[in-house]
Order: sequence, then C-alpha cells, then structure tokens
Amino acid sequence: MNLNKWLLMLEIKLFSIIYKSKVMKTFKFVFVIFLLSFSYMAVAQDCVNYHSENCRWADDSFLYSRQSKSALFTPGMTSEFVITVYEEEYYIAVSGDKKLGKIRIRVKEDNAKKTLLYDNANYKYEGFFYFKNEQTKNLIIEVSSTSKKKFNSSAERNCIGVLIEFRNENNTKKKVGF
Amino acid sequence: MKKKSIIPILLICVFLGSISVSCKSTPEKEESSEIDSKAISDSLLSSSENLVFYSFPSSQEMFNFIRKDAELVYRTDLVNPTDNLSNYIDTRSKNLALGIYLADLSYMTLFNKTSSAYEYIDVITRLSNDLRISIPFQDQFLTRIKNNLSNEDSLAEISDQYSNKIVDYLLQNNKDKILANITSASYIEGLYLALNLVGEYTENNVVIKRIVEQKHSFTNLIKYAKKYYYDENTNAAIDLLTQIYNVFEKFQVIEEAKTTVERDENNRMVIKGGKKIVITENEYNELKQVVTDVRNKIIFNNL
Repeated sequence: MNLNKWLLMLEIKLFSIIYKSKVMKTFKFVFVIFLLSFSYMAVAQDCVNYHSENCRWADDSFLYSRQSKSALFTPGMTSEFVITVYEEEYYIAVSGDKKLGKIRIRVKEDNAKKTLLYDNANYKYEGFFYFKNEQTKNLIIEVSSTSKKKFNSSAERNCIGVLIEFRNENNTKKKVGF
Repeated sequence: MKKKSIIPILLICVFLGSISVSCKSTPEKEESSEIDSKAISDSLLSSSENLVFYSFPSSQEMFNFIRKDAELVYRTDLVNPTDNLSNYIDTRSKNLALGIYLADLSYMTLFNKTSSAYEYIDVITRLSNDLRISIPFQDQFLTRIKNNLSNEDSLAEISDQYSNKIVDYLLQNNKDKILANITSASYIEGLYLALNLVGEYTENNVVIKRIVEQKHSFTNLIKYAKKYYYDENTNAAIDLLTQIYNVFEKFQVIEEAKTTVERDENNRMVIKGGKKIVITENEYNELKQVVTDVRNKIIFNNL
C-alpha cells in the first residue's frame, strides 16, 4: 500500500471517530476544514487545457487557433506572449481562477514602444473581444491577475487561459438558411 | 470537554490532508515541470521578470491562410512519397519526416484530395509509434478512417482530428522539444508546397504576399524552438529554420501607415496599418530555392 492510500485511510478513520462522537454541531466545521485541506490540490493542478475548458467560445464560424495558451499565475502576476495574426478576423477570450481576481488582458504592438492597442480594463474586464486585422503582424498579449500580490514565497498558483480563434471563411460561407 | 478533545483531531486531519495532497502533487509537479505552461510560470516566479513567450499558428492555419480565396491547383507530385519512409532511421530524421508527412496530409485534406490520405496516415502512425507518440484511442481513429475511405468530407475531418491529436499528445506529455522539431518540418513543407503551387513570381500576387508574411510566424517558431537549443535534434531543426529565416531577413520592410485601432460601421474593432514586407523577383526565387534545398535535405535524410 502506498503512502497516499495509507494517509487517506487514516484520515477516513479519524473522520469516522469524529462522526461517531455525535458532535454534530461541529460536523459542518470539520467538513469545511477537510475541504480546505484539500484546496491545496489547486497548487498542483494542470493548466494545459484550461483555456479550452473555461473560456467562452465564439460561434461555429470561428476555428480554434493553436496559439491559445494556459499558464499558472500567482495573484497579481503579469505575463506576456507573442502571437502572429494574419489578415483575418479574430476572437480572443480570457478566463482565470476566481482567486486571481478579474483578469486583465491587453493587446500591444510588438515593437520597442509596445504601443497599447486594447485593454479590457476599459470595458469592465470583459472576458472576450473580437477584432479584424488588416495587415499580418505579431502582437503581444499581456495577461494580468488583478488580485493583490502576496508574498513572493507564496505557493498559491492558479490557472489562466487565453483562447484564440480565427474566422473560417469557408464556414461563414456555408452557414446560410437552416 | 468534547470540543476540546476534537481540536487536536481536527488539526491532525488538516495536517494529514495537506501531507497527502503534497505527496500526491510532488511527482505530478516533477513530471509536468517540462510542460510549457508550467515552465513558463515557474521561470517567471523565480525571476520575477516580465518574460515573453512565443506562440505561432499551426502549419494547417498557415497553409489555410495562404490559400484563402486563391485559385491554386492541387498537385500530387509535391508531397513527400511514402516510399521515402525507409530513409528515416534515426530519431532526428523521424521527427522531421513526421512533420513533413503531417503537412502533406493537411495539404491533401485542405484540397479534399483524400485518395492517398490513408497511405499517409499509415506512415504517420508508423513514425509516431517509432517515436513513442501513442495518442489515445489511436486504433479507433484508424478504424474510423478505414470506414470512411469513400467519404471525402469525413475523411478530411478525421485526418485533421488525427493530426491535432498528435500535437495535443505532445503538448500534454511534456514533449515540447519533439513538437518544436515536428512543427519546424511542417512549416518548411508548408512553405515548399505554397511556393510550388504559386509557381512563377508575379507582382501583386496575393499568395506570394502571404508567403512572405510568414516571416512573422517563422520568427516566433524559431524563438520557441530556441528554448530547447540544448537538445541536439532541436538545434538541427533551428539550423534548418535559420537558413530560411536568413532569406526572410533580406526582404525590405516598409511602414506605410502606423498601426491604429478603429471601429467599423458595426462597432467592430479593426487593427489597421503596420509594417509591410516587400519582395523582389530575385528574392522570391532565392526563397524558393533555399526552401526547396532545406526541404530536400529533410526528405532525403541528408542533413
């Protein structure tokens, strides 16, 4: 029997002792504490598919772009990635764990000045937006957690995902009538 | 009294709970530390710097964009023949060949020319197995493909799904280095196909313009691959990409209008302006030659 199973069984045993003691008033409290102890699981969660599971998707006329990305963030953290946008219509959605607060997404030009092109803080931190791009270029996607920064040593990390889709002309053309 | 006696038990529960989770998470953390997203966060957390990471469209997205609204005629002679499979005997050549065949499969499905698709899927499966890329439900996928050989639309869709599953598998199983190698070859094959479909240089050719604009995604792909420069195979792939990128670097870049954001009549955001890449006939021919040379080095395993 491995250590995990042994610890789990020990916990169940202790839990049953408490339950049998008929101190029902404290039952809810015990349950909450138990849940809290398992909340550490969030620290070890895997973010790879967070964007596809949590971001709002556009309609069927848009296709998934492999430039979509998810990553672990600490509260108050900011991170950037560069994408290539062709002369097409794009949809970008962002989503993050509640513990990270509202998620700010900014789009900047990929140049020395990093000129700001879009900031969802100006739109009440809306989780998605559309845009049409008229000249192929690279853009910087900057994503921030707006919750307060904790100590640097804090191990609390949660997922943020950015879903990127582009308009598929073929699908748009096909979608007529029923 | 009862309450007092329960507190130590509760504390033990919490303590054990946290230990059991950390016991569980430790191997996961070690195992997934190579996953791109985690590596990103970990390096950011340790350095507290605003590091930048690079994404790039898939070769399917790239090729889809290049051929959009263009009247390109499908050519069967451009793909890498499956007979060449015997050329690929080492990991490096197998990685690159897999990227080439995946791009060829995308090319076939984009043109709905799926008569040889099964042959290519078979080769892709063999290479994937050799590289220990075992996608979930692979057998079911292959059965679905066999059952839809006469249905072009379904076959195209399933083939695309199959390619995507391979990329998903690599991303989810900490095989970013292999993904960098495979994608490098797919990009090179995508460019080779596009350059040969468009044929001779003509001024204001929209397909040529789009091919040239791949400089942006090439830049991101090289920067992404460079994260794994310490890997011999990835380094070889970076070298191949660089040979092509050096030609891209020669092209003139003009800023006709500054990048601005406007709203159109439907209140839709439009990003206008930006730098335009200009190419001469000689430069186009040089690009075509270099891409063909690099591609041939891969398919004949002559690196």
